Amino acid sequence: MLQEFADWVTYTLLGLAQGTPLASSVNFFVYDSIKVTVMLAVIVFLVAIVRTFITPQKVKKWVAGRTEGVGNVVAAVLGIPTPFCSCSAVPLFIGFVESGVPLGITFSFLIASPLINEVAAAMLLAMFGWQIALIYIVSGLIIAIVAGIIIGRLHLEGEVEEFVYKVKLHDLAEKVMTWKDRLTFAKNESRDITLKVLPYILIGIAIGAVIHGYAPADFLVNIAGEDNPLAVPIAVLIGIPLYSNAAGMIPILEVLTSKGMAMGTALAFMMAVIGLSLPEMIILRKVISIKLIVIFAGIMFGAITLTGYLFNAILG
Amino acid sequence: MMMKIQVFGMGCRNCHQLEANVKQAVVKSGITAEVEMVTDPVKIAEAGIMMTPALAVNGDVVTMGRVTSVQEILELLAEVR
Repeated sequence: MLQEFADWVTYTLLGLAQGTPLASSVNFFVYDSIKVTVMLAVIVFLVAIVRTFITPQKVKKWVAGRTEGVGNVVAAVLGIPTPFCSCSAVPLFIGFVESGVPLGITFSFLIASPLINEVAAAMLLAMFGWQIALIYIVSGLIIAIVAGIIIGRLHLEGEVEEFVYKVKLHDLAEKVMTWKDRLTFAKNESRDITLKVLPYILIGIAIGAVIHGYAPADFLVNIAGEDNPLAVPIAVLIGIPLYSNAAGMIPILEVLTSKGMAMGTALAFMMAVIGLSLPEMIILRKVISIKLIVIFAGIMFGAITLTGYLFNAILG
Repeated sequence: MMMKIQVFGMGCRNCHQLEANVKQAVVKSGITAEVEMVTDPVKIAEAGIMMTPALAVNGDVVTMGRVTSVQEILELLAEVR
């Protein structure tokens, strides 16, 4: 139905001739932007309902006192629906460490929270299908769990600024929400987030549409195809300092993969962009040493690069 | 007693947006209130806040982890008054 609407806009409403690059670009733009927007609004709504049950305060209680392994898994899973703004990293970190959550488990949460994000998952689902969306979520979880365990094993507690252990927290009483509150919250979140990322999506799809219509299909095979072993680490290295909206990037990735970029390389690039950011690392310096930040970034680089190679091998 | 409103956040865009919303809500409601930005991470954590931006009225944290709208802040202020 959606494809028919896109065809109607392209060929009937705008009267473009079938088979021309312009028609192909316009058709792609109309189809993708509607599909992605609807899917995004629905998924953000559903995740927002789940989120009303999982506050950081509760997460802290659920993971405190758990052992390595189980604790990392629980922390990573709970990180999925929990939103993350890089400026929340510090209070979140202090809150976890102060209530006795081990460092490795704290990192599993801190990694999973931005790395696995519902906007990215929704867009992958809309543009690449459920298999790729699932691969993204599962690999994000594994990275968060394994990286957390490694950081835990390295015993880096001494790399945390001393004041963190001395903070005395005030335990906040949480308001009990009714179902009506939850639905209102989810409706507002869905509207706010969708409207906020929509401009990025449209720009991303527009750039993608131009490439889609004009670039030849094997455009990127040599640079970013499976046969270039350096493509994955380079994509990840470029992605780490970038702090972009996943929403704007996925439409471009969709087109890049159709022009020859390997899927694993594309996924690794996306994960590097949303999972790690320069502002977050700078702000974390307030609570942990540069050494720990470098270790953290290094482990993430290795984990995401490995994941990219793995997917290129499996999906290729 | 003058109402005390605190905005917690380390200075990201969302925190500044919330501060602007609070100031707008205070002007609209016509009450006199002291608006304070709390940017020290230790103070933020001590208040029990783990998600910023957060909003507290007279010492009670009322919202966390989102930019509360002007309308909602007006309702919160009316409740406290």
